[in-house]
Amino acid sequence: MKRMYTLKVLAWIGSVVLASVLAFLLLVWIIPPFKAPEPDRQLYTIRHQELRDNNPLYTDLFLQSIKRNNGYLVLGTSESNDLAEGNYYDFLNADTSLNLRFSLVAGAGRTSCTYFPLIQSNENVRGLKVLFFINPRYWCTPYACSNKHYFSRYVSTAEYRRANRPKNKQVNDILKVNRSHISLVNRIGDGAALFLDRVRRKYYQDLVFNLNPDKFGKSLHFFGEKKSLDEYPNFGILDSVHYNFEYNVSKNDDLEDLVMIVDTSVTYRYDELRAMISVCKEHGVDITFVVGPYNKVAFEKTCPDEVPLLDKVCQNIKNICRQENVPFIDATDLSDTPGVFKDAQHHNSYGAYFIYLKIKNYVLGKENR
Amino acid sequence: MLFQSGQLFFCILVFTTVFVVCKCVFRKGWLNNMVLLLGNALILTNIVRPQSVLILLIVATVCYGAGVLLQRKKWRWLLALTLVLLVSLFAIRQYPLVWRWFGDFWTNSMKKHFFSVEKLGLSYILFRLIHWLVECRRGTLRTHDFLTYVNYLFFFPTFMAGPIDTLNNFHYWMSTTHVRFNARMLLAGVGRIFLGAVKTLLIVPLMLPYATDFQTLLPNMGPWSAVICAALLYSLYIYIDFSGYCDMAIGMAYMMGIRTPENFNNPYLSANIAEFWKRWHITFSTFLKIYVFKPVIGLLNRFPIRKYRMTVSVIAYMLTFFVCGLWHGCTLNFVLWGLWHGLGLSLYKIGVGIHPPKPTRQNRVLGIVATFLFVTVGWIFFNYPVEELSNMINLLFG
Repeated sequence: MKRMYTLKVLAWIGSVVLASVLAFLLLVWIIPPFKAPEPDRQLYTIRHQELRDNNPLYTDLFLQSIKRNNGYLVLGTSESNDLAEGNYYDFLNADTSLNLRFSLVAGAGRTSCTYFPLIQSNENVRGLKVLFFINPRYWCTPYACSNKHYFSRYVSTAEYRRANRPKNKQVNDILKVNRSHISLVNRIGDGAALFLDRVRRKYYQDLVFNLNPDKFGKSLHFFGEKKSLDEYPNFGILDSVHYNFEYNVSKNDDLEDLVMIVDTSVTYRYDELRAMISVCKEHGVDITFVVGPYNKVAFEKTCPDEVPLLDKVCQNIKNICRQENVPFIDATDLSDTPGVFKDAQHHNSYGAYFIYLKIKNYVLGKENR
Repeated sequence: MLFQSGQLFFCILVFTTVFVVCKCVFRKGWLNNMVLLLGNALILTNIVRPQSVLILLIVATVCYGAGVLLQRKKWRWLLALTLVLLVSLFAIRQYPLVWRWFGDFWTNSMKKHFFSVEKLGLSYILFRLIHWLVECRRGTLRTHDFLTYVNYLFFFPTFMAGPIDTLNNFHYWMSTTHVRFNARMLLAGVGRIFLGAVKTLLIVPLMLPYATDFQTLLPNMGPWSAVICAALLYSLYIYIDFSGYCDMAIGMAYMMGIRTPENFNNPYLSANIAEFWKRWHITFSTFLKIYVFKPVIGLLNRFPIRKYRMTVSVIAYMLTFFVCGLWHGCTLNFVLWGLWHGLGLSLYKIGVGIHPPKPTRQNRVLGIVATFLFVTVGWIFFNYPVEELSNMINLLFG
């Protein structure tokens, strides 16, 4: 055992390791890229990691599958996460009167800036129909400013590098703000991350899928046959017995401590919205915003001073859409509708039902035009 | 873990390359020290909070001043005062119990700054500071250069968990100009990192769930077998994990042309407990020997008790290993673990004094087995908090 630790033996091990790494890197050149078959059905969603890294094998297929099937891509933050009794996109997908599918990408803090690199680097976004859910909560502290944790969760530095130096100044400014939070080490490591990412994909993607194409099919999440709204037994029904109408919530967590202040000192979220509109126009994305509701009743109980400010936020968002001539679906009238919120920040399944109705009306109108 | 992310790993590789090139190009030692300082700052601020590094740097600067004074004036009171202050600050930060004693003393602002210092690597910084202060007074240090001193304290490969180098050794390898580029050491560094990675990333995860909790084995075997298997696995796990980490740290230092001391030398092949502590966590046990055991012996020899040499040794062993246990954690199980080893060493010392063993092959094999079993029982104290220990005893004997 001790003999292994002589410099001579260690140096020999080191040489073998270095030679192996070199061989590993050289072999990358002879592994042919895996070509994905053309998608016949629409993909429901894409794995978080593939989107984060903007892996073209998956992102291209995902976007192409939506476009080929004349579907929609729904983008949202935490309000668009799974709801046990169904969220608005579940109802849209289950509705047999709509011959359309709504693919989904959602997650807490997944605001528009996290999509800029994808939109700028992927030609498949041209002509893509997008529904983008805006939650006014993001105009309150601490989310009113850029958030490094969210940005790095959804955008890899390698991906940023691949899509950086945008010509669009608005987009550039927003990315710069988010980028400024990334540590120097990570920035130095960007080049390496990009390189290692390519090497990793050659082995874990191209080599594996070339040897076993079925494995690729299993890594995709396609829509199944359209069922019906009957699979949601509480569709459009509120469980009023267990509902807290005082705060207009179905969960009673930490309501007393709820403090959400509208941060009027920064314009980051407005700038981000304008940049999103700008980049979508530039790349031909057919975007429609869904201006979501906020829990007005809970705010009136806990932070009444913020209510007019949040109303103003909603108004400003809509005004920006009007000024930029971008369509939007106004769901802000649900803000004081009894029974529609799960908590202070997110709608519940009953609220999702109303949002579904609004989107359905809009989509039917749009498709029939 | 030194390589917390791929990017940090790459950054370390880039910096190592830059440093090796600089070492080849620059003939001035201070230039190499400046490059290393930049690298340490860049890498450590990614591992711990920058304000943490800054506060430690301020403490290090104060200690540097004290050390320079001690080298000239040899004031014993200054050494005692600085050591007491340092150890107190460490204890308050590290141990919630001590912190509560001083609870009313702190203002919120003080608390905020003080507790922004992360615990990661703190005890190893303390060791290096104690080494600096004591050796300054003894006059054994070959350099008092501030840059070398700061780099020695904050040397990133050994910052978190050692090995605990000496300033003289660090200075020797930093200032070595006769070998500008040592290809064999560079390759050996790669080999050593590879071995460390195999240990910590491949072997350790296999045994971790069973080694750290005997209850995971209970569905497959009886309680006695589960406890024995888990204890044996824990013995292997703790050695492989820690030595794997040290391999990576030493390998990284090798690549930079610095030979840090070894921390392990096949400890489970020790024929007695005294030999075990010469082979296990070598730099730490050497530190304890120089800065705790020997001073305690020196202190006791001033009193009439010095006539009873065995009693002096036993007290010194027990006290040293009580400190050793406390250093590992401020809970009863760590103290018990320390005292277990203190007791083992004391009994060994007494036994050898009465009946020295014959150096036969058979005795050595028996000694290796007995020492391994003794150490393994000790790891049970180390691994399980007292409540879990009592549950285990209830399960075995209840």
